[in-house]
Order: sequence, then C-alpha cells, then structure tokens
Amino acid sequence: MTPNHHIVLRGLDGTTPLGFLAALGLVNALRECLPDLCLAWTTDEGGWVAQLGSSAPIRQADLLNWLDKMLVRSLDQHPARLYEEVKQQPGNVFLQVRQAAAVGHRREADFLAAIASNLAPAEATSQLQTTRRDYHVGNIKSILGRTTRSHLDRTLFKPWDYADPMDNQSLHLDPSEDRRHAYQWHKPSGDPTRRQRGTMLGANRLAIEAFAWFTVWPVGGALKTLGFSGFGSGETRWTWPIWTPFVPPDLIPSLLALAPLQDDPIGESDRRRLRHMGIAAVYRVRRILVGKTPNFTPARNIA
Amino acid sequence: MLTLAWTYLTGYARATDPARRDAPEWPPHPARVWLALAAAFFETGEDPAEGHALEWLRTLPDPQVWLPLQAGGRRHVVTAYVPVNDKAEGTALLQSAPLARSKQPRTFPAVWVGDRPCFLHWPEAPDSDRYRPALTQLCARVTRLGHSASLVQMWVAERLPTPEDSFAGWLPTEEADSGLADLHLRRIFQGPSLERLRETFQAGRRPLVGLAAGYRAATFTPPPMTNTTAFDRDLLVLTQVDGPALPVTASLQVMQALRDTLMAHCPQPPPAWVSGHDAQGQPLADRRGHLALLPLPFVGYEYADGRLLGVALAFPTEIDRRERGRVIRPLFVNQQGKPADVSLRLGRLGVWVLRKRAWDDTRLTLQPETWTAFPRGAKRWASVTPVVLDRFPKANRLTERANWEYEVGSILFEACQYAGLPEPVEIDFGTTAWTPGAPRAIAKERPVRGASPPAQARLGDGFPPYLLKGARAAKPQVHVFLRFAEPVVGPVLLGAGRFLGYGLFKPLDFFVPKRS
Repeated sequence: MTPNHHIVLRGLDGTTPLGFLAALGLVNALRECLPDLCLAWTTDEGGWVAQLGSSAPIRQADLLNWLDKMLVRSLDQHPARLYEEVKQQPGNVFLQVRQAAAVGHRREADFLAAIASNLAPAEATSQLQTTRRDYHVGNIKSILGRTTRSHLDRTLFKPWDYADPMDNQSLHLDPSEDRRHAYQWHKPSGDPTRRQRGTMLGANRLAIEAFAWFTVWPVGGALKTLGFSGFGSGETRWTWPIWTPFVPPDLIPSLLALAPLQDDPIGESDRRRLRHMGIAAVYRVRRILVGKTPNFTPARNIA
Repeated sequence: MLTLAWTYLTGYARATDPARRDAPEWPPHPARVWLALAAAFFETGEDPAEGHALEWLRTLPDPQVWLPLQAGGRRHVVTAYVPVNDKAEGTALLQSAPLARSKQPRTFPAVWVGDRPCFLHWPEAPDSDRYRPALTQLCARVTRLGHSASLVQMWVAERLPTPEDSFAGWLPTEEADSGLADLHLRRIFQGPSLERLRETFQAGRRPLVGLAAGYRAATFTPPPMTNTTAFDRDLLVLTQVDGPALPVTASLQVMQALRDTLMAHCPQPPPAWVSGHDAQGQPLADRRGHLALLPLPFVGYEYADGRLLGVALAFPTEIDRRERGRVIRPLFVNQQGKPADVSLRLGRLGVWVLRKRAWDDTRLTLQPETWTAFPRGAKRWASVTPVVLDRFPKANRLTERANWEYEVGSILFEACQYAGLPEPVEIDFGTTAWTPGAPRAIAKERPVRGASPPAQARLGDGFPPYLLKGARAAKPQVHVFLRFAEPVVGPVLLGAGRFLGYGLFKPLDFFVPKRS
C-alpha cells in the first residue's frame, strides 16, 4: 500500500534492536489514532530509519500529542502490571485475560502472550527480556512514569544522543549498554555516569509497547520468543527484517515470523524470496551474557 | 576512476568486528576507511577542501575492495587481562599502585596482512580530478585504521592491482541482488554526514554505520592459451580441524582412508569417476580420468616443515559440477547445508577430522591457486610427493646408469603426455626434492650391524614405497622437476600413484610472499 502522507522518523534506526523495537512500539501505540497506519524503512545517514504512513496528514506535533494521549504513565493502567499478577495467581490471570479479550480489545491478551505461558514454569522469561528479573518490573514502572514529551521528541525526530540516565530506567535493549570494565573508564557497578546519561528513555518507553508483537511459547521448560532462535548465552540470536514497502500493523507479525530469517546462513533462494517480498535487509544480534546480565551485541547485516 | 590504497605498517590489521568483540573485522569495511579519513579531517584542522572531498566520497557508488591474496590470516584470539583505570583521590590511592589494580578481560583481535597494500577502487568517479588533491593531502594524514595500534600509511593510488599480482577482489553486487551476496560490508554511500559525525562526537559517542552493501568475490577465467591438465583447476579443499599433526610422508595412509570414506558415503554403487573402475570392476580404460586425492603439505617456504594441513579433491574436467555435488554432498555437507566434519580413522596414527575450507582461511597451502598456479600458470614445476614410475625400467640403475636415466626420462615424458600436459622442455629427477620441506622420494635404509635376524634401519625421512595391489615389488619413485615452454595451469599429477596423492607437483614460479 502507498499512503497519502508519511513522515520520516530520523531517530528510529532499524539497524539497532532498540530502534527497531521503538518503531514497532510506536505503530502499536498509534494504530487506533491514525487511519490506515503503516510502517516502512528508508535509508538515512548510515542507517535504516522508520517512516510512518497514513491516509491522514502526520505532523510532528500531532504525533507527540497522540502519544501523550495513548501512552499511560502508571503501571496499573498498563498491561505490564501482568508481570506481577501472573506470578501471584497464574491460573486466574490467564483465565481472566482470556475471557476479557475480544477482537477489538486484545491488548492485554497479546501482552500476556508475550511475557508468559501457562504451560511453562513461572520463572521462565521472554528472550526479549534483557534486564535482570528482579529489576525488570521496577524499570518498566520508572520508564512509564518518567517519560515526557521531550524524551519522545528526541527519540523520534533527532539522532539519538543517549543523554538520559540509565539507572533503573533502561530495558537494557541497546548494544551500547554492554559496559565491560576493560572497555570503559568506570567500574560498571556503581558507575556514576549511569546516573547522568547512557540511554534514550523515549525509545525504551516505545519499546515496551512493542513487546506485545513478540509472542512466546514453551519449549522444554523455557520460553521461546518470536524472531529468536537457539537457547543459551552463546546460541540465542534475534533476527529481524527491514522492509521498504509500507506495511500495515497486522502484517508486521508475519514479517517477524518469517521462517527463513532464522536460517544460518540464509539460503540464496530464500534471500531472493525475501527481496521479492520487499525485505531490503536482515539484521541479527546475539543475546550474550555480560557477567550475569544479558545483552544484545551490535546488529550484523546478514542478508 | 579513483583508488585509495593503504598498507598496515606493522603487518597487522587490528580492528574489532563490531558484532563480536573476540573477532577481527576482515575484510576492512569501506565505511571504516571513510571514518579514518574523517577522523584525520577533524584532527588536523578541518580543511574545507578535504571536507568537500569526504562528502563527495559519500555520493559515489560502493567501491571495489582489493586485498593481497595472502592477507587475512587470523591469529588465535586470546583474552588479555588489562589493568583498569586507577583512582586518583580519596582512599583509593593504594588502588592506584600498578600491582594493586584489578585486571579485567578484553581481547585484541588482529589479522595478518603483510607489507602489501589494500585498495578501495571506484571505477566510476566523476569529478575525481577535482577532489584528488584534497584527498591526497588527507590520505597523507591518516595514521590508523581501526584500533590505535593499527598504524597505516594511506595514499591515492594511480593503478589498481589485478589477480595476476596475487590480489583478491571483492566486487559490490547490484542493489537488487545485494541480499544474495557472500559478504556484507558497511558502506560509505548514504553513510553518516560529517555534521552527524560531529554531533555524535560531541555527545561522546562512536559513530554507527548500520547500512551495508553486498559483495561477491571477483571471479576470473584463465587466458585461453594457457595449458591445462586433465583435472579441473577448481579443487575442493578440506582442512584438518582435529587430530594429530602428520608429516607429508603419511599421505598415502590419509588418502587411502579418505578414498575409503568417500566410497562408503557416496551414492551406491560409486560412480566410475569416483572409484576409477567400471561396472565390471575393471580399471577405467580409454584414458578416462577419475577423482584424484591430493595431500596439501606445508612445503615450498623458508620454514616449511612438511606437515599436512589438509587435502584436496581434483575432479576430472568432464564431470560437471552438478554431478560432483550430487556425489560428494552426503559426506561433506550436513543436513543444514553447512560443511560437515569428516573423520578418517588412520589406525595407529589416530583419527583425523577434515572440514571444507572456509572462504576466509588465508593459509597459502590451502588455497587452490597455490597448487594450480591459476590464473597465470607456471612453467617450472617440482614434485612434492614422489612420482611413481608407470613401469619398471629395463636397465640396471647401478650398472647401466646412463641407460637407466634415459629410460626413466622417457617414462616421465610419456607420463606427461598421458596426463594431458604439453611436452616438457626439461626433465630432471632424483631422490631429493626441489621443494623445501618435502622429504626424500624414498626412505634410505641400511642394515643394522649384528642384528639377528638381519634387519634394516631407516636413515632420515622419506616416503614409503607405493606398492600396487598384488605386486611383489614397488616401482621406482623419484622426485621430478619439469619445465615447460608455456605456462601450465595445474593441478599437475604424474605417475602411477597420482590418484592417491603421489606424483603431486607444486609450481616453482608461483608468487611467494616476502617475509618481513
């Protein structure tokens, strides 16, 4: 589809995992505000940046207004509260969320399907979760509460300056948060610069909205996540496509779930097929353990 | 046309793969070269002419990458423990003492390049004359490419190397086909602007280039007049990945084990071009060729020790690639389409494990061109493993030396004809090899004094005799030197043992990189 209007979001670089997630989160957050919303990627200064399309005009200020309206600030109003609830009463939560779900009202059901499974142990987490289990909900709560319009403005429309503090408000999704001591000035634990800069709060806020795209399912006592392959610290990889035609939100999960993306290497015929589908590039990160904390490596273009 | 060239002054390229801290980046990415130029621009006064030249480079299509053939040799990456920064104030003064500072792990990945230059080449570069002076000035100011220990000298080159100069080329694929490429290198085209770099630097961050262009290795066809042999120059090379280090004198055992394994795993019954026998079990007649197995020993260099680094399969030229793939695929490729490990049981020598050579394995011994002299060909060839004569000479070697030598020369001359080679203009032979690191053609023995029963003791190294099935005595085996009037592209294999690794030749006038 070719939208009548579109806007290029120079901040959302799809070659980084956090940039890609933030773009998906933005689409998820705005899908009820903008008619015929769609997403594509275009090149800009060394990266693939997101461009949002719609049949209605999109201006920067309007985009921020809609986000102000759609993004809740309290954990109680966000499906992320299910992290805690599902731990306490797993059976009931799954039942209640399932019963409450409807075709036009499936936000909580999608989120729950992305963070837990009633067929897996309670301690199993999504492979997309890279913060420590005991900090995760606290960080989400901080991010929901602290994100302002200016954070979102910097995230969407400007090259990222990583000028927001990392302490207790980062989902650890950006490869730059791999802070091994030998490669930086300060000791990672107690690093005073964490309180000053290091992340993009707005990107983290939008990424939370993208979690619902990444459904999990139980495999041998653990949770496997859509778009990921392998288990274990050295084997887990996340692969995502970058597409150039405008794509509506409902089609995005299908693109994320394309089976050939998980091949290593992707076969020539599959690469040709992906090209014909409009997928201009494929990026892959590894999920590694730095000390005890999971981290994504910088993305590599694999096709 | 525009060509940028640089040499690594220490012989090593030190740059970390952005996606893996424990792996080097190789080949060098065009974006990294551009960023090195940009760093020099910002560090040396920001001459506007240089800035315009850098922005102009961003508008050019993706460049070709030309690298020395022997470059890219990877060193084993070890984890080093480096002292962390000290603390200058407060109670931490003691911690500042070098011995008291904690050490943290990190890696310093590097690849060996040598003293030959690397190139970025734009065949189409409109306005290049206009920007050449500024680029020349800027290149002269570049001190490093990658890590600060990766010192380089950079310049604007006048001439591009060719495969004949032992350079390997990587060519950008068409935009529509970039997903089909062998390699993805981060690109200058559509990369970050100088203004973006300035903002990134001021924010205390490193530039990020996520866009990549697809590249494929440049392929070349030999000149039409070059002489070739009955075997295809496109060797399938397998490298040793596990097992004991074996000398080249163990070739026969390794080749026999590989042949047995291959015969057992290929579609049954094995095709005649693999087994060398027709449906009735008779050796192939009418000069039809069949698969030859080649040992690949480390020979021909200053410090060569004759160790086997791998093996190669040489196919008869008349067997097409699809048929080759159909037959050998079950053994060498696993179900996921990746190279599979092939285990060879060698009796008392242990178990040898082989795998298809990775494209980025730059050891010269394991490159087909080392053994085929492709594409230039070579006029002078010398045997690495002994040539087993096709028949016994009638003359007695001890009492009729001249006749014996004449007869052996004739047998070798006929062997050349039989192998499809042009007539050599010079043939020489003896028990000692012309190639450094290759052992004698046959092990010398002497009687052990006073031994009962009488016994023989070996003197020095040498190849074991090649004993044909059912034969009572081994045919003579010698090392051979051949010179042709015109260049010949190999592989050159001569004599009775040529399908099992004996009679393998190496070109003598192939380019040998100078050791610094």
